[in-house]
Amino acid sequence: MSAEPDETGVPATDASNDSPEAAWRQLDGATIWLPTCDAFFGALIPGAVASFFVSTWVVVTSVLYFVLVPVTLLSALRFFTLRYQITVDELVLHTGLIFRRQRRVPLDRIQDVDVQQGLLHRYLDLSKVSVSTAGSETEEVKLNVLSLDAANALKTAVAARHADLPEASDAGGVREECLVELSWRELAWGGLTSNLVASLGAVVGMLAYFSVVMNTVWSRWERNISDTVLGVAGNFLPQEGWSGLLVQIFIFDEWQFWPLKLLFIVLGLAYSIGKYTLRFYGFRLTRQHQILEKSHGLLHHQRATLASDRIQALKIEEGLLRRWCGLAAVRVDSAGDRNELDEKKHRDVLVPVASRAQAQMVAQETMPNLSVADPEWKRVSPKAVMRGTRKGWLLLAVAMVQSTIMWPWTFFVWLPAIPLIYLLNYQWYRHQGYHLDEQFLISRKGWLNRETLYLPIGNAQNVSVTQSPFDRRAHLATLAVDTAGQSNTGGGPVIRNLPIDEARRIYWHLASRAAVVQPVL
Amino acid sequence: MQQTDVTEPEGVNPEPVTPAPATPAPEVTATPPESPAHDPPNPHVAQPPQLLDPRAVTLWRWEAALACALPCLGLVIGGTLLWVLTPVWKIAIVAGWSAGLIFSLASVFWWPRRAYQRWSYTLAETTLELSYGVVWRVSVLIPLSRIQHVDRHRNPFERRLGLATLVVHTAGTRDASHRIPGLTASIADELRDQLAATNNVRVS
Repeated sequence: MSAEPDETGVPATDASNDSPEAAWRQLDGATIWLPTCDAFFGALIPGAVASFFVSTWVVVTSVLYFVLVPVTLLSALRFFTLRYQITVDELVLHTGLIFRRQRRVPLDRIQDVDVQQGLLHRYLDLSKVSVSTAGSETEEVKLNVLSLDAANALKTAVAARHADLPEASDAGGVREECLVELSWRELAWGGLTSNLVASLGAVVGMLAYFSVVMNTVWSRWERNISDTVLGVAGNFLPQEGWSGLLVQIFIFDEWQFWPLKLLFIVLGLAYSIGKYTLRFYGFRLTRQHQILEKSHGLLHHQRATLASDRIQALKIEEGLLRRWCGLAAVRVDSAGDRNELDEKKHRDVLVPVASRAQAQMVAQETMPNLSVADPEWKRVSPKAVMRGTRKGWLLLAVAMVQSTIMWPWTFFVWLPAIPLIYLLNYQWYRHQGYHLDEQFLISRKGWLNRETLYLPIGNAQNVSVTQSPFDRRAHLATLAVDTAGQSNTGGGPVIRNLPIDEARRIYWHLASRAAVVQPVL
Repeated sequence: MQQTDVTEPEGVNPEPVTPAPATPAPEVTATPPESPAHDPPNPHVAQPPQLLDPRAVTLWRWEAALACALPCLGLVIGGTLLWVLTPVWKIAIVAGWSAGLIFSLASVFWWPRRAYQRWSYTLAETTLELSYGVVWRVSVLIPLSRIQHVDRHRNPFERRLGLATLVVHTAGTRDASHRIPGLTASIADELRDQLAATNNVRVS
């Protein structure tokens, strides 16, 4: 297996291609050791956690045998056997040692060329490239590791090819328009208000509260119960070493560990914020005609492109904490990305955090024909309030009965929930709305966590109006619109508790408009 | 068996908005059912809704009988064993038997006719609408340009009765496929050809 491209396994019958002179290229030499380093760093944290529970030696050897060695072998194999070629029309790829495979991807079918760089990659001017097309579930072509120059050459070839198509114009990046650029301070705010932080804080806080309450507030009787439960649980939890210490601190609490617990909570928050900021460091969203490109990341840099006319639906999310700060996040569904296998790519998140006005501006810029991002909202039927309240009260009654039988004093704990449920439903009713015009169906729901979903009517696949027996008695209906693409935004809009006449009106309007507007697929 | 409404969608019957539900299209068998309680007609289309073939009632009866046979048998055998072996829980066994009996009788004798009365489809110029559901009522509108492909299914009961089921696939995520059961086989073929023809027009 020499390194000469012309001699290794290039099939005698080369393609019926016009340019046999297109050079056969291979991956960069760093392919042999760089993925191994990535795997090593990726295994550090899980390994550290695992060493709490099993001996360190076991962890080290298993990581070595099951992760590092296979990765190295596979990467070396790939380096020696993978050859690719950029011809006039296609990207041709030859892989495999025993079973040789050839893959040809027409350049104008390529949707995007995704270039990712970790810290080491950037230091050495290398990159990890994945090429995907519209019809594929995963990447069609993955080139790991490629030098940055080679990656750019590939991008240029694809862009040059697209330049021949009527809708694209000069690919030289002349008219590149920056839509969003986030400073690290904005990102830190985003990290602070993200759901990850909130839930982490909630979990740790609950653990701390639980242990405090159990030891000081509850009476001796309840204390006995909790001791029994913990006694049983204690048989399963580790008692020695680092993990045992953590269990002692957080679950079998002692008073003197209070500052330590606080420190853990603060450290957890700081870790989440730091992770978020690192992931989205230097975030930029730019637009060049119909193509959006977002690039971000400090340790692991990545650039992803998205054609704005492939966007099926766009959602602006304002989570609980974010709404208090006037921030929002933008997520899109796009056709052609069937499965989001690599969670790190975040291809569905268009803008991780931005001010509300900025998010609406992005919506207007990326969806053509959207006239106003914050229109007049129409409400659903006011019967929604009592219907939701009745459901909530029913569940509350069940919970109340169950707990009152066991502990009579809990009856008074549940009482404040009665008006609270009504209040919640009323607020949800007030904050739910929709707007229908010639081009878009915009729907909004949620009080504390608000979501606004923008659906271009042309992307509706089918529309349905459904009535449960309760709906029929109240003369209401549920309208659901189905869209193509994966459902990062939760699928098309579902609007409940619409008066039946209104639901039918929207239903007919949507279908007749969707019938004349051609889909992008 | 000429389905005038379906093959000439330009609106041979020029009644744009009919407040009363349309009468069923000329069917094969003798007794058309009484006019079903349909939803208000779509003012955007001129075509009246089509009903399924009345033999669909028989089809559903047979299918329900088959679907209930095995569980009923299991219930009888299991109940008898329990009755003989354990001295207690007789009330529960009797309750189980009667529940199974009521359910089977209802699904074989009562449900199919109700379901048939609620089922209708409308093929218009640019949309296909399906309307069905006894307890949970559903209306679905599919723009013809969104149809990816159309399948035809015939199970043994359908073959015996000369019926077919059409499955219409769109590119959606939640409700990508929709079924039209109990169509007369020739109508199903005609419908399938019409839907496919619409797609060809779109592509070219």
